[in-house]
Amino acid sequence: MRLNICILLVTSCVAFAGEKIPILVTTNHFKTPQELIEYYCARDGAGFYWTGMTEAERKNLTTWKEIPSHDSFLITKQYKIVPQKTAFLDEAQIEVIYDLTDIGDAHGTRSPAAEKEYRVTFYLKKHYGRWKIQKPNASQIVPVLLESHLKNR
Amino acid sequence: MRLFNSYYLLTIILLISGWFFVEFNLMSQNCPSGYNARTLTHSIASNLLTNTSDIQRGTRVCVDQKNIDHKKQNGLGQTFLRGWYDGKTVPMPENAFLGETKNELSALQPESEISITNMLPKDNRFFGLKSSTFPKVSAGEFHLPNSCVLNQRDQHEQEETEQAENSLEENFMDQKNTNEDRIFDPETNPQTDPNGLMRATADDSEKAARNIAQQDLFQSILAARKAVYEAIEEDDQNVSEPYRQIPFSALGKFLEQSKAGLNDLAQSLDQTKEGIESSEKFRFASLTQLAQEKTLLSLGAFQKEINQQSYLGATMAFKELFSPPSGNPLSRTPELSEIFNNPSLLKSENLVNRLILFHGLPKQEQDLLLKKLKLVEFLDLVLENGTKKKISLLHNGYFLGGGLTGTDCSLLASSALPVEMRKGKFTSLDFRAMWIYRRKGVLPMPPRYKKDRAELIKKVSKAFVPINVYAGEKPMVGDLLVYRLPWETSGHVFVVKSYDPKFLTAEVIEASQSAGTIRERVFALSTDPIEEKNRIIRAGLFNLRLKPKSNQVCQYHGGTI
Repeated sequence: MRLNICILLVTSCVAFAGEKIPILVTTNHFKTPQELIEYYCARDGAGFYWTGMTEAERKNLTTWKEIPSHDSFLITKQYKIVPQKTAFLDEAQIEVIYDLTDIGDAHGTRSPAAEKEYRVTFYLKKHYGRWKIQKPNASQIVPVLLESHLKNR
Repeated sequence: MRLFNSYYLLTIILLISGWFFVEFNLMSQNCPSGYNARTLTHSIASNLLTNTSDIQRGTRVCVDQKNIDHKKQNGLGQTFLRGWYDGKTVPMPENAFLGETKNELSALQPESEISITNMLPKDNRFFGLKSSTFPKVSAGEFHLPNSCVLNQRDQHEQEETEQAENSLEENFMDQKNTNEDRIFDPETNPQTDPNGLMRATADDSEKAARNIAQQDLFQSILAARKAVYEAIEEDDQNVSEPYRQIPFSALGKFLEQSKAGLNDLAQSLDQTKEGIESSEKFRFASLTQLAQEKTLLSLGAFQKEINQQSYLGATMAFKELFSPPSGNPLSRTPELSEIFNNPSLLKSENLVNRLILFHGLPKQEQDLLLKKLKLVEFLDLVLENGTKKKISLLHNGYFLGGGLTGTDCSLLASSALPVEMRKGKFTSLDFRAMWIYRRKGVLPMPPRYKKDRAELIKKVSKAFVPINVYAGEKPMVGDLLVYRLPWETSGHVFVVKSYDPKFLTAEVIEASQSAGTIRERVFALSTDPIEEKNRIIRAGLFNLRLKPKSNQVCQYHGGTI
């Protein structure tokens, strides 16, 4: 009971940015590709994947051989996860549309983003009953932070 | 028959008139001297520009006013080239912008000159622009509009002049530096020419000395990196050791202690007004938050195991779970191993695990440990409410202070290698900016720097000599070769091991993402086929040569020169 209250408190604390950030997971309990992408985008938007994805997340949520590594990141006002239109037994595609503002880094340096709208299509595959992100792979994917999280830091 | 001849004649007249009309219109574009108004050839079938068009690599094109589009975004003016596609004028793709100069509409003038530095034959699009009016290299994909094209002969002369100007400009910029900065640059000798400017000369013995110096520098960069790696290993061992003897049942207490310590650290960082650089604050706040989450998860896993063992203990002997002999001492159950696993040493996650272990120890043990740890910074923070607070911040190496005085040069260069370090120090975009600043005397814009950040970039740039690979200058051993396109988030920073000017390839070392170690590879400065007669160096390359003696920014310690 005490543990549950603690988790609730921490979750409230980490949601100070206004957007709810899901707590770290080390196992893949996501039943649908949509849930997995929602988790991914929320953690990415909070800056965790730019700082460094954990090995547990890499192994359990993706098929990547390495974690993404960038010295800068894209900054977005908001993003929209387009609901999956077609579904196959063990493959899925989910598109995320970002409304970009800048390219930035932790020092506050800003460059204009080349495109205002940035679309990422996630290709997911089922591995032993668990959905995992296959593409883009680690070298292709770019960290995208929510502007609101940057302001709060 | 006569009617047929008339029609035939009329058609010819119309064709000739049409040709004159087109040519007249083009000529009336008022091209600058040396430029010819010319229609770009294009494939009628596809309406796309082809590789056999008049525009080739190196062609200089003068941009007509009507082909320039100015926009304002985020307070910065941007310039776009208006495209010509399928006979209609359409806006350029967003990534065809030439960038900004100031907070107003771009200064790109109708007579501004752009040259094509590369071409992508696959899409028949041009890639690579260099504008002589901007102090930077910009690039983008676009279809070239009808414009004035510089004659080939004039183009060659213009290139030669520009190279000469760049060389003089660099010498002039060096001359403007203070005496402290004017350390011996192997490329220059104190000989003045009739114009009163320094000329770059070097005889064979100086070249040999320079080569040796660069080799030493290369070795000291590698040694610095190795030293950091070993320091991380040692610190990991030191924080793990107290846990190896702790019984599993007692771990809960340590995890609770860690949770409290990390909460305190997170609050301190959150409320800090002064005392830590903004980038470090951002990164460490994120790392601390991750550490808090991991601690909570491990508390959950610990409790679950205790409950399970208590249940089993009713019928079976209680089994104590021992610490693994190496690796994370908390990885005592499958679930805890999943949480802590074994990330490679240079990864952020390894630092997160070390933070959890450190903050889990009693205060007294922490104080003893702080005397042993190599990678820790003691910071005096000033909080928002005005109170002062001392914290000890564990890190993963290369924690450079804001002032940078007394920084080891090889450490500065070595920190460029791993992406992890670049996040907190200098990104590939910053190295690009340093190069441009050293060449042109102004920082490029974009990016938009904060004032104190801009000053830091300018200061640190003085540790380097900018080498222009596009003007034929060659990378040398120990150089930092930066590859960065400004509209992308990722860049590479290599240390040059050797360079082959014939094939335009460099043997480089760079940080390997997965293994956390460095790897050697061959990096091609040109993507053109080797058999191509005129191979162009790809856009986005900036070669920085660390000055071979101690200077205002950094000093050499032990071994190098």
